[in-house]
Amino acid sequence: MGQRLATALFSEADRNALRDYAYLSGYQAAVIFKQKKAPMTVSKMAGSLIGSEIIKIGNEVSEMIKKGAAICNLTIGDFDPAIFPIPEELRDAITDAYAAGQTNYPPANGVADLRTAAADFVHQRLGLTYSPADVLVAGGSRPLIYATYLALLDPGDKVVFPVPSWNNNHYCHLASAEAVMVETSPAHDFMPTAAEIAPHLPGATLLALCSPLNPTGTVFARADLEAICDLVIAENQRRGPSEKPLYILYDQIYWMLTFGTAQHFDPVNLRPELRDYVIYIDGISKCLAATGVRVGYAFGPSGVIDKMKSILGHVGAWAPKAEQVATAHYLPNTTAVDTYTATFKQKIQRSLDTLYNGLQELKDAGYPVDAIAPAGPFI
Amino acid sequence: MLGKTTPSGQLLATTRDLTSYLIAEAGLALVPFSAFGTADTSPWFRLSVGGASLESIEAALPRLRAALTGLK
Ligand SMILES: Cc1ncc(COP(=O)(O)O)c(C=O)c1O
Repeated sequence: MGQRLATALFSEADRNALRDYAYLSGYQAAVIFKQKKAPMTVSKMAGSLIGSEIIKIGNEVSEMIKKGAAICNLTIGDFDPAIFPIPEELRDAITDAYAAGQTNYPPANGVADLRTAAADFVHQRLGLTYSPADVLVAGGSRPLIYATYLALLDPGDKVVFPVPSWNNNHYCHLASAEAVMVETSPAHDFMPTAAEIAPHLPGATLLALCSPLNPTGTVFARADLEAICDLVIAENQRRGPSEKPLYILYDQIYWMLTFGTAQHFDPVNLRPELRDYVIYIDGISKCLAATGVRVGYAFGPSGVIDKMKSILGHVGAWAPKAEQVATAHYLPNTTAVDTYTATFKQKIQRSLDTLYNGLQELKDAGYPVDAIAPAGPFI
Repeated sequence: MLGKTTPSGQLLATTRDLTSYLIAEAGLALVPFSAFGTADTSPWFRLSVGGASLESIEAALPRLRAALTGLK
């Protein structure tokens, strides 16, 4: 009992100091602590990072393909540039920007023209009104998710998110936050419901949502997202002025890639009073098949976006300047964007339909398989 | 499909076993939802179409049927 209590009360460093003291003072009975472990060569956070299971499977597949096996590889959340190239106009604008010498540091929050272009883009296409000053650009959307976590969470703070979902567990680990995972059900397309989320919101700091959702390719129905938004509004009304509010991280990186009758909804359009509490994650990685171009952007309340800017400034997670200039040039070209996405989506739709119909045929023939009709780029 | 046995007599107990079986026997590589935080008995997989051609998807479907036929 005493031993366990001691182990719980003292940090590793305290224990080592006490052990040394006990030795020097000859007071052997004080050495009640656990055997000293092999010295850590890296931080506890780094030492306990979980590797990506997707990458492990990917390696297994690459091994087999190398040996000459014919494998249809549906593991990678990426686009093969030979099948899905980026828009030609964007590619040309990138090379032009390098030729024009756009090779020095970009501004910390992103090239002004790109922040304006992104603000205009989401205004025209989603009806969201944000000032370019409240847009933050980074090297893809990942640093922006990380910065959202770091800007809002203290160690031990709770982050509520549905599973399956993409990487929230890893961001919790990086931010020393407590992950509160809410299991969702296929009956509800794996999207979380207000009833599933409600019990976890008291005391939580962040609700991390994503639609269309990776890995399921499903989207929020309007009424379901509205009900969740109402929970967040009610929770924030309950909190006192000295308490940190509950925020929503809304990852809509796939919003342009909706299929069938699926429609994209977002919190601030549905509930404008949530504006001060929602951080949007967006970017060109998925909608322009530009995963290697590394241009993402976030927008939200000035106070939070400013802190995210400071955090990422120290990390230096900016998008390359030439890519920023090129994206700023490309996004306002409505015709080019619309033509590109129409063809891109058609091609993805054909693959999705082929898979979905093939799986349905197997199901109808009595095989133990099932598939959910895709609303996003996954089945 | 979990709980079934392959023609070579291996029990498919977890989605990890099933993932490996599908790669080896159907030439079809998928990611189980357990990679996204669910239990490793969750029978769902992500099929991501961005890295494969339509032709390779079409070619994989009959192989999947054959691999599933072999399960007992
Ligand atoms: C849901 C989701 N958010 C964000 C990202 C990261 O995108 P980026 O390449 O812009 O960092 C991904 C990509 O895998 C994703 O699936």
